[in-house]
Amino acid sequence: MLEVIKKDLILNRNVMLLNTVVFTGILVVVAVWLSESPPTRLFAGFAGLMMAFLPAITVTREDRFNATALGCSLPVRRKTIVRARFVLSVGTALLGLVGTFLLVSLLPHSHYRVGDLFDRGPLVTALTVIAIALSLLLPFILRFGMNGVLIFLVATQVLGVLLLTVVSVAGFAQHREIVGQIVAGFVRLRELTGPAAFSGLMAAVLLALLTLSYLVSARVFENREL
Amino acid sequence: MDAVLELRNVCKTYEGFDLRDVSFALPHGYIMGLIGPNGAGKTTLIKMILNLVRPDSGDIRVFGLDAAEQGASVRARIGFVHEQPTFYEGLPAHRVATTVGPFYPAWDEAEFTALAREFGLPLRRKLKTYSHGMRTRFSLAMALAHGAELLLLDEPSSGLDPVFRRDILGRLSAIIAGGNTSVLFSSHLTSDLDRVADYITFLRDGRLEFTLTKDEVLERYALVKGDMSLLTAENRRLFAGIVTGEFGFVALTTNVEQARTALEGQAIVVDRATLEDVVYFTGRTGEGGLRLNGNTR
Repeated sequence: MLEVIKKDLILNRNVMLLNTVVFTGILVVVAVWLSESPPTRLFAGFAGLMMAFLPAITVTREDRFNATALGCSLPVRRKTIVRARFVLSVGTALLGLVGTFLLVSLLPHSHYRVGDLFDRGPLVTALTVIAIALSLLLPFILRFGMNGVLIFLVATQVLGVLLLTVVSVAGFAQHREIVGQIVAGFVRLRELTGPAAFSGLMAAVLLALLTLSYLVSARVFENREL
Repeated sequence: MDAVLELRNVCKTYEGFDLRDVSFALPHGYIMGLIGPNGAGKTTLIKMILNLVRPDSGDIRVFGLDAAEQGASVRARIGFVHEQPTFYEGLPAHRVATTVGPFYPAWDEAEFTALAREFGLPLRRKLKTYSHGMRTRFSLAMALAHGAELLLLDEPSSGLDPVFRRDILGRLSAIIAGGNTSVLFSSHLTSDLDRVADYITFLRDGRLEFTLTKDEVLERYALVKGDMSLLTAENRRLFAGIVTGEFGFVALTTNVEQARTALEGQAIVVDRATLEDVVYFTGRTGEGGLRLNGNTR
């Protein structure tokens, strides 16, 4: 697996750096130049989403050059390639997140301080967004390559429109009620289990989601014909 | 027979294409030419051996191992040149080689550098600046630098100039002479296979026409030339493919003696068929389309 990670890192190094600079730049603009910055948790979630897309875009480069067949012709199991992509994606997203949080909080005139971003709330939000985004995105990319990103984006847009339609039909108050009940459910669960156990439980759920995503990805990638 | 590669009843169906019951074996230490018209299934077969494409049914064994289940172990001992060699275009050739090479347990960096020099490859240059021929040479250098026991070459000579092509064929013969390597070589250029192949496997429309030693192919097939008046319905059955023109017909037969007996006393000429003749005539069977100045059956 390390050989595959090393290969992906070497072969995609430049574009990874470029994407990191661009994504971080966008977040710096939001954190420093906007007259009114978004709430810390919202900023953390946005940063998490961007960092989740960072490795995804990198992985699709192989597709751009039609080099997937080359990678799969090497003496390595496809399952290992998928595992390497997951490890690399999670690792890159986390590194990108920590780096961005540090940069943003250390910049003069930034709306956020180190203590704001490296607090439990924003961190949990960012990590949750990263885990969910990667879990949903990677199976699409590994099955459909570059088109997978487009399929994912279109699918989420369609889903969003459907949800909005449902919300407008059902009425706004009801929508708020449903969201409120979900939030209340989490709060109650937290009260029942205690903060530490709740965090552990949430981490386990996210880990399970990533594992499920890995299993699906491995399955679809093994059946992918090149 | 000590087969390094064995396919048994391999089938694969795509929309508009059907590879049906393909079986053949490549003995250890020989070169097998895989020939056939475009769309015959040559590339699909090579991809199936590398497990890039899964057969719908059938069995592919390489070095006695299942090509799908033990794919990684199999591929460690295989060198390949894809029809369209693709790499990470933006990187220098040496960077790609040093990144991909270590995946192979027997990778020999010095051997690769020597081969690249021999093949005239500027390793500092980015791969996007390489021509198709240079990419093929690069792939070939990669394939040869890890002591592969089986080389899978999908149209390796396309895009290569005649001088280099002949050099490559000479090198393949030398590799085989070492006794440790076997080659499956798909090509449209039957002249290449005339030079180096020990076995010929002919695919047409996803069907296996034959898999024979080259000598058997050349012994089995012959060209019969004669006047159009000889081309009766009964005589047509003797031929695998016929081209007719204003000066008579040329036909391919798989049974020279039978053709001689049937046409005894008639003015016919029987010539040795080349591999190209076999592909040309067999490939046109049943189509009946116009060909140059003649018709084919």
